[in-house]
Amino acid sequence: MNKILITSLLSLSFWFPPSSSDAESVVVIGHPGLPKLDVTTIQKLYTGRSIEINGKSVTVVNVVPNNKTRKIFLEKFLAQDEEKYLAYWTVRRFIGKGTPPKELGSNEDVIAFVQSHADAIGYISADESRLPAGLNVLNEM
Amino acid sequence: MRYLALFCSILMAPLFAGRAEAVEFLFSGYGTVSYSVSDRPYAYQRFIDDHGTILSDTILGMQLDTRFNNHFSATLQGRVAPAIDPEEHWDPKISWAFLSWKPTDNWLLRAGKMRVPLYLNAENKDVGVTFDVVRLPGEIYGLAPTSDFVGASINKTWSVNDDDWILDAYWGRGDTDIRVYLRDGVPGTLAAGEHYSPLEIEMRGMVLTYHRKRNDTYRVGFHLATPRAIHGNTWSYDLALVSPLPGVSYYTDTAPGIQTYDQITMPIFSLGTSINLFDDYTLSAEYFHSQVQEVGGITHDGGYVTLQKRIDKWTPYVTFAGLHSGSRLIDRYRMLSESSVPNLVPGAALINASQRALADSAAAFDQTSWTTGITYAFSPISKVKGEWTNVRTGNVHGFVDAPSGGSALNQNLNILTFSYSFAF
Repeated sequence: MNKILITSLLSLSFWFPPSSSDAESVVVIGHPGLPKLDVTTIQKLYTGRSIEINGKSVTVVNVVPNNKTRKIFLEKFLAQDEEKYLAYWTVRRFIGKGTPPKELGSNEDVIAFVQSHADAIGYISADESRLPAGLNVLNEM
Repeated sequence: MRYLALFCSILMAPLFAGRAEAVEFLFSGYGTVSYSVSDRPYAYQRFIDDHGTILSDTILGMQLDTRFNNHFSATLQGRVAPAIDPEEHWDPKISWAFLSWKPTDNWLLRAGKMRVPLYLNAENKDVGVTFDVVRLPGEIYGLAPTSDFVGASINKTWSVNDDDWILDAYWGRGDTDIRVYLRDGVPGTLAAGEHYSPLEIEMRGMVLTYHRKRNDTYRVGFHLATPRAIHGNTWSYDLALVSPLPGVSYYTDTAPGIQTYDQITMPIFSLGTSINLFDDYTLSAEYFHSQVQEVGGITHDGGYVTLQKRIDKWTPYVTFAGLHSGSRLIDRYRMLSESSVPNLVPGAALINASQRALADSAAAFDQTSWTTGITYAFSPISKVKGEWTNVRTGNVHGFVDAPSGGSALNQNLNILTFSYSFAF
């Protein structure tokens, strides 16, 4: 009986897919010329506390809410979930300290935006291994 | 209105300059619908009595943020709330209209119409989803000389490791109305009920905030308010004792030699903190002290402590708050309220009514309150809340509109409030 139970549990665990957060990585990308960034700097950029890198103005972009890549990015780089991030920007907006980063529809839109804006920073799924030439990987988790 | 026109023209300038593609317009809004009822027939905080009201906390606001680029932006916020003017039901108002310039990470300069940063939640006090209590304690938030000003502010941030030190300095002018509720009025002169006196106020101050990465906030502020009465109104704090007959006397504030002021100076000191404790407990506390510089003993001291705990979508909380005016204000109220002349004195009715009206016009407070409530967050931008507050008044009415011919000293009021707040 115990053997059957253990076998069943093993087979169940075999079939449970790992959570998306564990399985996937996110790449923070930027226009060529932008340097590698540490997590603290990325946190400051995506929470509006910073707008520049080494004295040069930068523009960060998000993917729209409920996007899987965004969810993983928030978890890994900002240690937040969608609700906390929304709550943070709701307060920040209504104390007059700014608005959240521009939101784009997909990873492809992020790539296109970063390619076309010299000051742009975004993130895409690491699965998008077809990273076009001309983009710089600033961090990966 | 001229500020709004100027602001709108600046806001729209990029459109006409052909640079509209670089400009982002972001609309957002907020609102609260509430219902409050107390167990007393007289009103607390202007609206709340045993008939119930939706007016005490109901508000609707819209905000337009225009981002010209990373460094320049403009913010316009309008809101509709119950009117101060009793002849109007609702009061649409531009609460914010300012331009922001952030030249670097550490500097932020703003000019236009803004909130006076007196309290932890001064800027967002109208936006119910940004805090978990139903009503921010009136013992603190009801003391602001004015909530808005037109002027400028400079904000400097020093980042130390992951924490921020932020220094805010501001200067500007605002206007407001002082509300006085007369129990009985003065025959032939003043009707019983609400009266409003317009004021112009110059506000300036500095606030130092320490914000830790784990979201703890500590702040200390020094402010200087200079209210100026207009339309010929003045302040007087001294009383003269008049004796029309031997053994009979009454108080007045219009006798020769009594100093009057058409402008006063009020230094204000404020402290605030919000700390995340263990197990999702959060402790928030604020303290406020103000005084009239020209006259000793005219002070107000208010404060509160709130402990709340997040349990998944639920946040129960408890608040203790207190507000006390200086002895000179309390004594003035007591002397005027307790003094009366016998009917045999000519004009006795007028004299006695005048003394009671003078007592009611003193902005004096003496109360404590306990509040317990709970919030359920459907999401960070959709919250339903309920709370019960027990207010104990002391030696003055404070926020209570005392009933005609009576008083509301040393009373217990119980207030029940339900609200729904949202943002988008």
